[in-house]
Amino acid sequence: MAVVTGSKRRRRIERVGLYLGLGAFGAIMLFPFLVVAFGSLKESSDIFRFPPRLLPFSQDTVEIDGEEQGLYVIEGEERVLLETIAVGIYAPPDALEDTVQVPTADVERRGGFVDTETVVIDGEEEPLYDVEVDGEVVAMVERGTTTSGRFAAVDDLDDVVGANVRLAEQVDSVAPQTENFRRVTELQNLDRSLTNTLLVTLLVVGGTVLTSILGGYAFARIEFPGRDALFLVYIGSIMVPFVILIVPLYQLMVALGWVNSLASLVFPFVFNAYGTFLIRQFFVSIPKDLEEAAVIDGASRWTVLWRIFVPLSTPAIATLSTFMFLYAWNSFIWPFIVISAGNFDNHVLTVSLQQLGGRAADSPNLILAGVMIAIAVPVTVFVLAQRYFVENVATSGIK
Amino acid sequence: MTTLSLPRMRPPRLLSASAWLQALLGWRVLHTLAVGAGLWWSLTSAALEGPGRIAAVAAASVVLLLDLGAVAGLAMRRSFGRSLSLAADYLTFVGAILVLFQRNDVFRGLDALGATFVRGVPFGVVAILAWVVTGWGEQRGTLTQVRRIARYVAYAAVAGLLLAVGLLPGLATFLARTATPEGLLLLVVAVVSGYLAWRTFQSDVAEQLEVSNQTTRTLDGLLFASPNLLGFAAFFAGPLIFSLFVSLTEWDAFGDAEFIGLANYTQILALNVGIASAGQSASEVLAPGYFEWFSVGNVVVGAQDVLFWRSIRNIVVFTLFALPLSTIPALFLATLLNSKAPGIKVFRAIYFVPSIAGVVAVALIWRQLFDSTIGWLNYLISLTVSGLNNLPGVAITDPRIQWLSDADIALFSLVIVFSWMFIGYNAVLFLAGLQGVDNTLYEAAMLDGANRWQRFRNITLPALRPTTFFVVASTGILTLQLFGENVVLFPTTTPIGAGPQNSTLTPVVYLYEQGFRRFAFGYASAVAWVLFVLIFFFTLVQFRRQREQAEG
Repeated sequence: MAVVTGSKRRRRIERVGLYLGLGAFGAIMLFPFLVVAFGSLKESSDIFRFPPRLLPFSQDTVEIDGEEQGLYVIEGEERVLLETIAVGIYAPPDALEDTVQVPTADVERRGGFVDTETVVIDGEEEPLYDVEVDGEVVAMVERGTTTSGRFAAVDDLDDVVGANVRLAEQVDSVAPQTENFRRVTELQNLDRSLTNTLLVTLLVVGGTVLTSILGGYAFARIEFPGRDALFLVYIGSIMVPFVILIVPLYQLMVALGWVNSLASLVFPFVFNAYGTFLIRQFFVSIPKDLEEAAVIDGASRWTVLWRIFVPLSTPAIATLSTFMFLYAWNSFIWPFIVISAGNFDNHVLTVSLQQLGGRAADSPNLILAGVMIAIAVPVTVFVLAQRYFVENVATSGIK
Repeated sequence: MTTLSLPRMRPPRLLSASAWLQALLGWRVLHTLAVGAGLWWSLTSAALEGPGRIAAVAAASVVLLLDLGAVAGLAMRRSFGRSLSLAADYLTFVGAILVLFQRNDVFRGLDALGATFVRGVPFGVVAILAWVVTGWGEQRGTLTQVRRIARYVAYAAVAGLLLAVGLLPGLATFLARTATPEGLLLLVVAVVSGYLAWRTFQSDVAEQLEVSNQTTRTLDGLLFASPNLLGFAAFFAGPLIFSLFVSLTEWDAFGDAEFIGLANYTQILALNVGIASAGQSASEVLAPGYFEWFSVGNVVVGAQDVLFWRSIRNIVVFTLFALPLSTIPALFLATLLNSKAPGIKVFRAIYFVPSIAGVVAVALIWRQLFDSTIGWLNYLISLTVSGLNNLPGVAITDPRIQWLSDADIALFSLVIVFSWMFIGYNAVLFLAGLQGVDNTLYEAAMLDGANRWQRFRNITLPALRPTTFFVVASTGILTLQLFGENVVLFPTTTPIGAGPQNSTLTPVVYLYEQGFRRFAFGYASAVAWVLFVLIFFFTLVQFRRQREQAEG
């Protein structure tokens, strides 16, 4: 009995270790997505804040005399900022540690603005200021500046305290800025990019599935001399990296007048060797007697293909569709080359986002909102069709 | 399942099979003459130039050869005459339709569809739902009434979709554009050759010529494969050959291509090594036309195209780091995932997500994390550092890494982005391999007392060899073509994507710069072929290694 319980405990420890490992890795994979998801809901002052916070915060406000005023916490009390005052930090030249803070408006340069008296500190010439300390005017040098604020209590505006604005703590609460998504679509014609991407993706998926079914059937079921050699050559094109085709394919698009057109994103990509391969492999596995019965009944090849093979092949077709969906939705290098930067009407999402990243560097919250839009669709499809995604990866591995 | 209604309306059979063959021979002769004239025109016309002329001449020659063979075959009443005739008519049919569409801007019409497409989406959703209901009813075999209604709803939704996206105005434009002499001629050619091909394809014509079963099968097979084969020729094989030709020319966007042999390749690849003695600068020891690429001690290596060699150096360094980082952790992750513990599929899904998010989105995500002042990465490093500094005897300064603007770091930032994106994907690949490993091997090894590491080393790794080859080769092909991450993370450098001081200049970034910023198409093509050879050798080496290991 002792042995059994021992192995049970060991197993439990192993399982905890397993989840720890998986969880740590999952955190690495998931954390950037959380940053994006929450970042896309932040307002711009929040996203530039240091240290960064994960959740989207914005400052609470209170209405005073019909105006919204931001709330701060000063010494445990909620207050609003009435006005800010520029404050200088001054010290006598012979005792640089003895600083005082005085509003810069109350201080004048000794000797006037033109002939300011100076003193040399650490080899640098510094102007001297007349600073009043305890009713006495002392000559001092400026060591720095800061911003002070007059903060009033919410219920009694005459109850005012001074505090450093930079160190004042804001009263924040979680407030997702959903209008970021609307703003980003206006920023870069992203709504048009989205429909273009959807159109291109659907056409590429549909076209590839259609040609792959036809080609897959020919290579799987119609025996003719030279078929296998032809198939091998066709499949060999998978091994050729796309970069080699960029220049000549671009020339072809120029010759056809398809540069800058969605046509250039669709038609070159609906003839896909990988798709033909995938469908062929599935068709080969379908038992022959199924179709022989139909052929005896006088069915043509066309009928056999659409009435028998296609209905049986939904898993393979779904796998191919998800693969092509991802490929078309995420393809970047070709649209980037063939659709010019200024042609907003024919942009696809990847190109728009890249440009947005280059231009709107001052509003990362909007860029992240664009990213969320771009990944929302593939992630949704992934959640719905996870089985086929994974199957797709598995089949490409077996190849 | 859907019942795909086949075209029931068959064209009329105007003539009996034997009379048809006579008529076909006459038509073939006419067709041959027309195609011959077309070939002559495409050889001499000033309207065509460059690749357009080559393509036209090639197409006309192919059809002319088919025609000549068909005339001979039909005259001798041999079956190959029918086959060749079919091929010629089919190609004429497809060609005429494509030219008509291209001329009427049907393909470019997709751009207009991009604007109206959104109006059709609700109809599309309804159509899909109705289609699902039809299929669902079919499986149950009951509820025929519901199925019938659903089918009508689906038809109506498809019609609504077509109307909503502007089918009618599009059709009107198409007809208006066709109603010109040229358009009508193309339409007539398409209809006539389409009918001819269909009629010749019928079995009574085949019987007249005693066509063998094998020939029928060949024709069937080629017909079914023809979309793929034509697309392959037009968008793969043709451009590939053309690219090889372009790489032997000096060609910019505005002038004619000038044949210069291998000059592009020699300029790209030329290296020169010199030994610098004391006080000599690098340029003094190199042959004229060469610039310093790098130097080791007093040995100076120079290249004519320093930027290209810089890109090679970068991509080799990148691959050396990114390849192990995105495969080795993936293998261990896969061994973790290969368990029956509950919830494992959730983890698998999470790991997979970065690879489906797409290069641009992933790079933008990481740009946010990499920000040197407000980014999370530096913040977490700061936290760790200050946490460590609380320990006695530890004093680390916060590195404040400039992830994207430090020339020594930028390439490694790309390594992080790439590895993060593909670890999960590779893990799922490895997992598929692991699940194929025979479990009895492990059981036997456990009986022999092999520990976990020994089992991994002696069973898992050898069994995974084909998967490992596939993972390493496909990841390597991706790393060697690195481009998107660069362009998104360094959109403002020149060349675009080259990063600080060209530290992330990769071959594809360089190719883009040469081809599409400087419009040196010949030179860019040559760069592409050099890169292709590099990728090919990489794959070959992996393949050989896998085979040797499998044999040894």
